[in-house]
Amino acid sequence: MSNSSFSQALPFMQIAWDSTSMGTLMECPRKYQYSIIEGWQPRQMSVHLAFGIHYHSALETYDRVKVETGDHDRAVVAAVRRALEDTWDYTLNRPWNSDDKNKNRFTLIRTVVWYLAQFREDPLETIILANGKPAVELSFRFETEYVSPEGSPFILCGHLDRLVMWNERPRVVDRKTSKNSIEGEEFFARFTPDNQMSTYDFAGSVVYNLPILEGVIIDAAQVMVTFSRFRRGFAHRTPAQRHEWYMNLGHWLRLASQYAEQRFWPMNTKSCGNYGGCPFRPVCSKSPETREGWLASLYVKRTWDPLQIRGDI
Amino acid sequence: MSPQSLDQIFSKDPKTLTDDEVRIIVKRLEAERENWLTAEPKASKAKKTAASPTLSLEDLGDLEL
Repeated sequence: MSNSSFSQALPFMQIAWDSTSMGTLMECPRKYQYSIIEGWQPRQMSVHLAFGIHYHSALETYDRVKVETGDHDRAVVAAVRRALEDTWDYTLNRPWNSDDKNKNRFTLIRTVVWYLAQFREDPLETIILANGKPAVELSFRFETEYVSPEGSPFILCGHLDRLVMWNERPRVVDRKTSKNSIEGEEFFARFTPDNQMSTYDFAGSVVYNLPILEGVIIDAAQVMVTFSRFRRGFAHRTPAQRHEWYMNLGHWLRLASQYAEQRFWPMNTKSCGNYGGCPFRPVCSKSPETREGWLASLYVKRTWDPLQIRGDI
Repeated sequence: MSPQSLDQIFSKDPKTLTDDEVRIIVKRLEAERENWLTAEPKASKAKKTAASPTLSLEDLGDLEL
Protein backbone atom coordinates (compact mmCIF):
# COMPACT_ATOMS: atom_id res chain seq x y z
CA MET A 1 0.00 0.00 0.00
CA SER A 2 1.60 3.32 -1.00
CA ASN A 3 2.16 6.04 1.54
CA SER A 4 3.19 9.42 0.13
CA SER A 5 4.84 10.44 3.39
CA PHE A 6 7.61 7.87 2.86
CA SER A 7 10.73 8.06 0.70
CA GLN A 8 10.51 6.48 -2.74
CA ALA A 9 14.21 5.56 -2.61
CA LEU A 10 14.29 4.30 0.99
CA PRO A 11 10.92 2.68 1.59
CA PHE A 12 11.21 2.54 5.39
CA MET A 13 12.21 6.17 5.71
CA GLN A 14 9.39 8.52 6.59
CA ILE A 15 9.99 11.99 5.16
CA ALA A 16 6.79 13.81 6.13
CA TRP A 17 6.02 13.64 9.83
CA ASP A 18 2.96 14.64 11.80
CA SER A 19 2.54 14.64 15.58
CA THR A 20 0.85 11.21 15.50
CA SER A 21 3.69 9.44 13.73
CA MET A 22 6.38 11.26 15.73
CA GLY A 23 4.50 10.65 18.99
CA THR A 24 4.25 6.96 18.16
CA LEU A 25 7.98 6.75 17.44
CA MET A 26 8.72 8.50 20.75
CA GLU A 27 6.39 6.15 22.59
CA CYS A 28 7.77 2.93 21.13
CA PRO A 29 9.76 2.41 17.91
CA ARG A 30 8.25 -1.07 17.47
CA LYS A 31 4.73 0.33 17.74
CA TYR A 32 5.78 2.90 15.15
CA GLN A 33 7.01 0.10 12.86
CA TYR A 34 3.77 -1.85 13.12
CA SER A 35 1.28 1.03 12.99
CA ILE A 36 2.92 3.69 10.82
CA ILE A 37 5.43 1.90 8.59
CA GLU A 38 3.50 -1.34 8.08
CA GLY A 39 0.07 0.24 8.57
CA TRP A 40 -1.40 -2.35 10.95
CA GLN A 41 -4.35 -1.14 13.02
CA PRO A 42 -6.80 -2.90 15.33
CA ARG A 43 -9.82 -4.21 13.42
CA GLN A 44 -12.12 -1.88 15.33
CA MET A 45 -11.23 1.79 15.52
CA SER A 46 -10.75 3.08 19.08
CA VAL A 47 -13.98 4.59 20.38
CA HIS A 48 -12.00 7.62 21.57
CA LEU A 49 -10.59 8.22 18.10
CA ALA A 50 -13.99 7.72 16.44
CA PHE A 51 -15.72 10.04 18.91
CA GLY A 52 -13.00 12.67 18.47
CA ILE A 53 -13.28 12.53 14.67
CA HIS A 54 -17.07 12.94 14.76
CA TYR A 55 -16.90 15.76 17.33
CA HIS A 56 -14.33 17.68 15.28
CA SER A 57 -16.28 17.12 12.11
CA ALA A 58 -19.53 18.47 13.59
CA LEU A 59 -17.89 21.57 15.07
CA GLU A 60 -16.02 22.22 11.83
CA THR A 61 -19.37 22.14 10.04
CA TYR A 62 -20.75 24.65 12.55
CA ASP A 63 -17.82 27.02 12.01
CA ARG A 64 -18.13 26.87 8.22
CA VAL A 65 -21.90 27.36 8.10
CA LYS A 66 -21.75 30.10 10.73
CA VAL A 67 -19.23 32.05 8.64
CA GLU A 68 -21.16 31.43 5.41
CA THR A 69 -24.58 32.40 6.76
CA GLY A 70 -23.97 34.33 10.01
CA ASP A 71 -26.87 32.30 11.43
CA HIS A 72 -26.09 30.45 14.69
CA ASP A 73 -29.27 28.35 14.74
CA ARG A 74 -28.84 27.23 11.16
CA ALA A 75 -25.22 26.33 11.83
CA VAL A 76 -26.20 24.27 14.90
CA VAL A 77 -28.72 22.31 12.83
CA ALA A 78 -26.04 21.71 10.17
CA ALA A 79 -23.57 20.51 12.82
CA VAL A 80 -26.08 18.12 14.38
CA ARG A 81 -27.10 16.82 10.98
CA ARG A 82 -23.44 16.22 10.18
CA ALA A 83 -22.94 14.29 13.43
CA LEU A 84 -26.07 12.22 12.77
CA GLU A 85 -24.96 11.37 9.24
CA ASP A 86 -21.35 10.64 10.22
CA THR A 87 -22.56 8.20 12.87
CA TRP A 88 -24.94 6.25 10.65
CA ASP A 89 -23.82 2.96 9.19
CA TYR A 90 -25.28 3.12 5.70
CA THR A 91 -24.26 -0.46 4.92
CA LEU A 92 -26.14 -1.95 7.85
CA ASN A 93 -28.73 0.88 7.92
CA ARG A 94 -28.32 1.48 11.63
CA PRO A 95 -26.64 3.98 13.98
CA TRP A 96 -23.00 3.75 15.05
CA ASN A 97 -22.90 1.09 17.72
CA SER A 98 -20.52 2.19 20.47
CA ASP A 99 -20.47 0.06 23.59
CA ASP A 100 -18.88 2.91 25.57
CA LYS A 101 -21.33 4.43 28.02
CA ASN A 102 -19.59 7.82 27.89
CA LYS A 103 -18.73 8.05 24.23
CA ASN A 104 -21.57 7.05 21.96
CA ARG A 105 -23.90 8.57 19.40
CA PHE A 106 -26.24 10.21 21.89
CA THR A 107 -23.48 11.71 24.07
CA LEU A 108 -21.72 12.95 20.93
CA ILE A 109 -24.73 14.90 19.73
CA ARG A 110 -25.51 16.13 23.24
CA THR A 111 -21.91 17.32 23.60
CA VAL A 112 -22.06 19.19 20.28
CA VAL A 113 -25.37 20.89 21.18
CA TRP A 114 -24.26 21.80 24.71
CA TYR A 115 -20.90 23.11 23.48
CA LEU A 116 -22.56 25.33 20.89
CA ALA A 117 -25.08 26.55 23.49
CA GLN A 118 -22.33 27.44 25.93
CA PHE A 119 -20.17 29.18 23.33
CA ARG A 120 -22.93 30.82 21.35
CA GLU A 121 -21.18 34.13 22.12
CA ASP A 122 -17.67 32.80 21.79
CA PRO A 123 -14.83 35.06 23.01
CA LEU A 124 -12.57 33.08 20.66
CA GLU A 125 -13.17 34.57 17.23
CA THR A 126 -12.34 32.26 14.34
CA ILE A 127 -9.86 33.88 11.96
CA ILE A 128 -11.14 34.31 8.43
CA LEU A 129 -8.60 33.37 5.77
CA ALA A 130 -7.82 35.48 2.72
CA ASN A 131 -10.10 33.20 0.66
CA GLY A 132 -13.02 34.09 2.94
CA LYS A 133 -13.14 30.68 4.62
CA PRO A 134 -12.88 30.15 8.37
CA ALA A 135 -9.53 28.92 9.68
CA VAL A 136 -10.73 25.51 10.83
CA GLU A 137 -9.26 22.04 10.16
CA LEU A 138 -6.27 23.61 8.50
CA SER A 139 -3.70 21.35 6.95
CA PHE A 140 -0.09 22.53 7.17
CA ARG A 141 3.21 21.30 5.81
CA PHE A 142 6.65 22.83 5.66
CA GLU A 143 10.26 21.79 5.23
CA THR A 144 12.43 21.58 8.33
CA GLU A 145 16.16 22.28 8.40
CA TYR A 146 16.80 18.59 9.03
CA VAL A 147 17.91 16.49 6.07
CA SER A 148 16.83 12.91 5.50
CA PRO A 149 19.25 10.16 4.36
CA GLU A 150 17.91 10.49 0.79
CA GLY A 151 19.08 14.12 0.79
CA SER A 152 15.74 15.88 0.94
CA PRO A 153 14.55 17.90 3.93
CA PHE A 154 12.25 16.31 6.44
CA ILE A 155 8.75 17.76 6.32
CA LEU A 156 6.54 18.61 9.27
CA CYS A 157 2.82 18.39 8.60
CA GLY A 158 -0.54 18.00 10.27
CA HIS A 159 -3.85 19.66 10.92
CA LEU A 160 -4.84 22.51 13.21
CA ASP A 161 -8.37 22.43 14.60
CA ARG A 162 -8.90 26.17 14.62
CA LEU A 163 -7.08 29.50 14.50
CA VAL A 164 -8.68 32.27 16.52
CA MET A 165 -8.17 35.79 17.77
CA TRP A 166 -8.29 36.12 21.53
CA ASN A 167 -7.38 39.27 23.42
CA GLU A 168 -6.26 40.70 20.09
CA ARG A 169 -3.75 37.92 19.62
CA PRO A 170 -3.84 34.92 17.28
CA ARG A 171 -4.05 31.52 18.92
CA VAL A 172 -4.15 27.89 17.87
CA VAL A 173 -7.04 25.95 19.39
CA ASP A 174 -7.04 22.20 19.85
CA ARG A 175 -10.22 20.40 20.88
CA LYS A 176 -10.09 17.46 23.26
CA THR A 177 -12.79 15.17 24.59
CA SER A 178 -12.40 13.11 27.73
CA LYS A 179 -14.50 11.18 30.20
CA ASN A 180 -12.07 12.24 32.91
CA SER A 181 -12.14 15.34 35.05
CA ILE A 182 -11.19 18.59 33.36
CA GLU A 183 -11.43 20.56 36.60
CA GLY A 184 -8.29 21.94 38.18
CA GLU A 185 -4.99 22.59 36.48
CA GLU A 186 -3.98 18.94 36.40
CA PHE A 187 -5.82 18.23 33.16
CA PHE A 188 -4.16 21.07 31.25
CA ALA A 189 -0.75 20.57 32.85
CA ARG A 190 -0.29 17.31 30.95
CA PHE A 191 -0.03 19.23 27.68
CA THR A 192 3.27 20.80 28.71
CA PRO A 193 5.54 19.31 27.64
CA ASP A 194 3.62 17.51 24.95
CA ASN A 195 4.76 16.73 21.42
CA GLN A 196 1.36 17.27 19.79
CA MET A 197 0.81 20.73 21.30
CA SER A 198 4.41 21.75 20.59
CA THR A 199 3.96 20.68 16.97
CA TYR A 200 0.81 22.80 16.67
CA ASP A 201 2.47 25.74 18.42
CA PHE A 202 5.44 25.49 16.08
CA ALA A 203 3.23 25.16 13.01
CA GLY A 204 1.14 28.15 14.06
CA SER A 205 4.21 30.28 14.57
CA VAL A 206 5.99 29.24 11.36
CA VAL A 207 3.40 28.34 8.74
CA TYR A 208 0.78 30.89 9.65
CA ASN A 209 3.40 33.46 10.53
CA LEU A 210 2.01 34.18 13.98
CA PRO A 211 5.15 35.45 15.70
CA ILE A 212 3.40 36.38 18.92
CA LEU A 213 1.85 32.98 19.35
CA GLU A 214 2.30 31.84 22.94
CA GLY A 215 1.11 28.28 22.80
CA VAL A 216 -2.15 26.48 22.24
CA ILE A 217 -5.61 26.87 23.76
CA ILE A 218 -7.01 23.49 24.80
CA ASP A 219 -10.77 23.48 24.29
CA ALA A 220 -11.74 20.55 26.52
CA ALA A 221 -15.03 18.69 26.76
CA GLN A 222 -15.74 16.26 29.54
CA VAL A 223 -18.23 13.69 28.29
CA MET A 224 -20.15 11.91 31.00
CA VAL A 225 -23.16 9.61 30.83
CA THR A 226 -25.64 12.29 31.93
CA PHE A 227 -23.89 15.55 31.09
CA SER A 228 -21.10 17.25 29.14
CA ARG A 229 -19.09 20.14 30.49
CA PHE A 230 -16.46 22.36 28.95
CA ARG A 231 -13.36 24.19 30.01
CA ARG A 232 -10.58 26.02 28.24
CA GLY A 233 -6.97 26.08 29.30
CA PHE A 234 -3.55 26.89 27.93
CA ALA A 235 -0.50 24.96 26.87
CA HIS A 236 1.95 27.86 26.98
CA ARG A 237 5.16 27.87 24.97
CA THR A 238 7.93 30.44 25.17
CA PRO A 239 10.22 31.01 22.17
CA ALA A 240 12.96 29.13 24.08
CA GLN A 241 10.66 26.17 24.68
CA ARG A 242 9.74 26.20 20.99
CA HIS A 243 13.41 26.14 20.07
CA GLU A 244 14.10 23.32 22.53
CA TRP A 245 11.28 21.25 21.05
CA TYR A 246 12.69 21.81 17.56
CA MET A 247 16.13 20.60 18.71
CA ASN A 248 14.48 17.52 20.17
CA LEU A 249 12.69 16.94 16.89
CA GLY A 250 16.05 16.87 15.09
CA HIS A 251 17.31 14.24 17.50
CA TRP A 252 14.28 12.03 16.93
CA LEU A 253 14.50 12.41 13.15
CA ARG A 254 18.13 11.27 13.26
CA LEU A 255 17.08 8.32 15.36
CA ALA A 256 14.30 7.50 12.91
CA SER A 257 16.88 7.57 10.10
CA GLN A 258 19.11 5.13 11.99
CA TYR A 259 16.23 2.75 12.62
CA ALA A 260 15.21 2.87 8.96
CA GLU A 261 18.77 2.25 7.75
CA GLN A 262 19.18 -0.66 10.16
CA ARG A 263 15.62 -1.85 9.50
CA PHE A 264 15.24 -2.39 13.21
CA TRP A 265 12.81 -0.59 15.49
CA PRO A 266 13.41 -1.59 19.13
CA MET A 267 10.64 -2.24 21.63
CA ASN A 268 10.21 0.26 24.44
CA THR A 269 8.83 -2.18 26.97
CA LYS A 270 8.18 0.58 29.50
CA SER A 271 5.33 1.83 27.29
CA CYS A 272 3.38 -1.42 26.92
CA GLY A 273 0.90 -0.54 29.69
CA ASN A 274 0.31 3.09 28.75
CA TYR A 275 -2.79 4.51 27.10
CA GLY A 276 -4.95 1.66 28.31
CA GLY A 277 -2.45 -0.90 27.02
CA CYS A 278 -0.67 -0.92 23.67
CA PRO A 279 -2.82 -2.51 20.95
CA PHE A 280 0.25 -4.45 19.76
CA ARG A 281 0.95 -6.08 23.10
CA PRO A 282 -0.75 -9.30 21.92
CA VAL A 283 1.83 -9.43 19.09
CA CYS A 284 4.94 -8.33 20.97
CA SER A 285 4.17 -10.91 23.64
CA LYS A 286 4.54 -13.71 21.06
CA SER A 287 7.75 -15.31 19.88
CA PRO A 288 9.31 -13.24 17.05
CA GLU A 289 9.02 -15.93 14.37
CA THR A 290 5.22 -16.05 14.80
CA ARG A 291 4.48 -12.33 14.83
CA GLU A 292 3.79 -11.86 11.12
CA GLY A 293 1.01 -14.40 11.40
CA TRP A 294 -0.44 -12.72 14.47
CA LEU A 295 -0.39 -9.33 12.80
CA ALA A 296 -2.23 -10.66 9.76
CA SER A 297 -4.87 -12.39 11.85
CA LEU A 298 -5.53 -9.75 14.52
CA TYR A 299 -5.18 -6.47 12.59
CA VAL A 300 -6.12 -4.80 9.33
CA LYS A 301 -4.05 -2.51 7.15
CA ARG A 302 -5.02 1.15 7.19
CA THR A 303 -2.41 3.52 5.85
CA TRP A 304 -1.63 6.52 8.05
CA ASP A 305 -0.54 9.15 5.56
CA PRO A 306 0.07 12.53 7.20
CA LEU A 307 0.19 14.24 3.81
CA GLN A 308 -3.48 13.60 3.18
CA ILE A 309 -5.24 16.92 3.39
CA ARG A 310 -8.35 17.40 5.54
CA GLY A 311 -9.28 21.03 5.12
CA ASP A 312 -7.64 24.10 3.68
CA ILE A 313 -3.93 24.66 3.39
CA MET B 1 -49.95 13.40 15.66
CA SER B 2 -48.04 12.69 18.88
CA PRO B 3 -44.62 14.28 19.25
CA GLN B 4 -41.68 12.12 18.31
CA SER B 5 -39.32 10.95 21.01
CA LEU B 6 -35.59 11.52 20.63
CA ASP B 7 -35.13 7.78 20.31
CA GLN B 8 -37.51 7.71 17.35
CA ILE B 9 -35.66 10.51 15.58
CA PHE B 10 -32.26 9.02 16.38
CA SER B 11 -33.27 5.68 14.90
CA LYS B 12 -34.14 7.17 11.49
CA ASP B 13 -31.78 7.28 8.54
CA PRO B 14 -30.41 10.83 9.01
CA LYS B 15 -30.63 11.58 5.30
CA THR B 16 -34.42 11.31 5.60
CA LEU B 17 -34.65 13.73 8.55
CA THR B 18 -36.17 17.15 7.97
CA ASP B 19 -34.59 20.27 9.44
CA ASP B 20 -37.57 20.46 11.80
CA GLU B 21 -36.76 17.02 13.16
CA VAL B 22 -33.13 18.01 13.69
CA ARG B 23 -34.36 21.18 15.44
CA ILE B 24 -36.40 19.00 17.80
CA ILE B 25 -33.18 17.24 18.81
CA VAL B 26 -31.43 20.57 19.35
CA LYS B 27 -34.28 22.09 21.39
CA ARG B 28 -34.68 19.03 23.62
CA LEU B 29 -30.95 18.78 24.28
CA GLU B 30 -30.76 22.50 25.01
CA ALA B 31 -33.63 22.08 27.48
CA GLU B 32 -31.81 19.14 29.04
CA ARG B 33 -28.75 21.38 29.44
CA GLU B 34 -30.83 24.08 31.14
CA ASN B 35 -32.16 21.49 33.60
CA TRP B 36 -28.66 20.23 34.25
CA LEU B 37 -27.31 23.74 34.79
CA THR B 38 -30.05 24.38 37.33
CA ALA B 39 -29.35 21.16 39.18
CA GLU B 40 -25.56 21.26 38.84
CA PRO B 41 -24.65 23.62 41.74
CA LYS B 42 -26.42 21.34 44.23
CA ALA B 43 -25.06 18.22 42.58
CA SER B 44 -21.49 19.58 42.61
CA LYS B 45 -21.51 19.90 46.38
CA ALA B 46 -22.88 16.40 46.77
CA LYS B 47 -20.34 15.01 44.36
CA LYS B 48 -17.26 16.32 46.18
CA THR B 49 -16.62 12.85 47.51
CA ALA B 50 -17.52 11.08 44.30
CA ALA B 51 -15.65 13.18 41.76
CA SER B 52 -15.13 11.92 38.25
CA PRO B 53 -11.81 10.14 37.83
CA THR B 54 -8.67 12.08 37.12
CA LEU B 55 -6.87 11.22 33.92
CA SER B 56 -4.01 8.81 34.44
CA LEU B 57 -1.30 7.56 32.12
CA GLU B 58 -3.24 4.35 31.68
CA ASP B 59 -6.19 6.06 30.03
CA LEU B 60 -4.52 8.88 28.16
CA GLY B 61 -5.75 7.21 24.97
CA ASP B 62 -9.07 8.80 25.93
CA LEU B 63 -7.67 12.03 24.48
CA GLU B 64 -6.93 10.67 21.03
CA LEU B 65 -6.98 13.15 18.12
